[in-house]
Amino acid sequence: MDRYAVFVPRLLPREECFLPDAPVSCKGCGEALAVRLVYKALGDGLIRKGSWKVPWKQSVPELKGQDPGERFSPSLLRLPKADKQVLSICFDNEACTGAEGTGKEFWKKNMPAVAVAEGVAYVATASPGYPFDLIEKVKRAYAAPGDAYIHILCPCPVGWAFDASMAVTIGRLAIDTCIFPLYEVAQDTCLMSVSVAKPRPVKDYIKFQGRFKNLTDTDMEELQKMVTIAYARLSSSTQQGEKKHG
Amino acid sequence: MSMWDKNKVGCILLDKKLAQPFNKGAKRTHKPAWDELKCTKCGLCYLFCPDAAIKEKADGFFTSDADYCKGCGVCARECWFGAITMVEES
Repeated sequence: MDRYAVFVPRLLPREECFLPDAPVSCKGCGEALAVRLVYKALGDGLIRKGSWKVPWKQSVPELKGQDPGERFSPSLLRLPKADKQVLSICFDNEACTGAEGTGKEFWKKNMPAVAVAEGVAYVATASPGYPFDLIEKVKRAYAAPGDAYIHILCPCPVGWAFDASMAVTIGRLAIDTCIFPLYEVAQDTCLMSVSVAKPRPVKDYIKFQGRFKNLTDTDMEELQKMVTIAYARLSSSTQQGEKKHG
Repeated sequence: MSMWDKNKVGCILLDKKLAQPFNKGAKRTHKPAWDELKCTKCGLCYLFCPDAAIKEKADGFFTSDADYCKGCGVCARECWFGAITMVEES
């Protein structure tokens, strides 16, 4: 497959099950792209079984903390599998962590780590910047026994304030700078989907986004340190093959 | 269009033809244009289009559907061969 990787898009199913209508998605919407790829992976029939008929922006009360700054309300797609198991796909556009502007400094909740700690059988992170990875993970999560959770980082040109044509590029930069590492946890072992040998500086990811324009150079250095430490911890737990909380 | 109140909760259009009257391509300023000498028919533009606006023609090249394209320019930036340029809408 690697050899023909350039032409793999032609092998995908041509059926379009998801056409985002006009008022819902802005131009260059990363979330619409992610939903479209999920539809491609699962097919129309499966999605209709899911909970997509509840609102598109589903607010999940149990994910909210008491502090309004700590809440985390993404849109969730819940798909029932066999034996009352559920595949939850979280489309995270970081709206309640960055775009809202509460004036407080905090990190967003690490939902994949929470899911791993809760004992979810299959946990993975994905990004529309790596579409085949996303499609494979959704297929695998649906086939895996037990509950499954996939966290998809969806770049949002309006909320993050970058040019609409950069949507896929920003999604890829999040992985290349190790801010949002791609991994999957199945059967208590963690596998890095994309192991970044030479991470790009975090600045490459930050500089395109208007929402970070108030960051100073010292902030950037601090951020770089935190990202490096978090990624080192995650990749060390990968090598040991343990259940990780990355 | 006054179809909003008839939609289901979450504005999910289960029938594809329902989205057509919205004509969401009406507000774009640029549209993609393919240079078919550079295009290798790889299909990356088709894969990365958030609005599923890019269709394959009978000869294997790709083209954009004017009713759906919002002119975001993702296809032009992601094309490996630089075959797509964004042209100003006349």
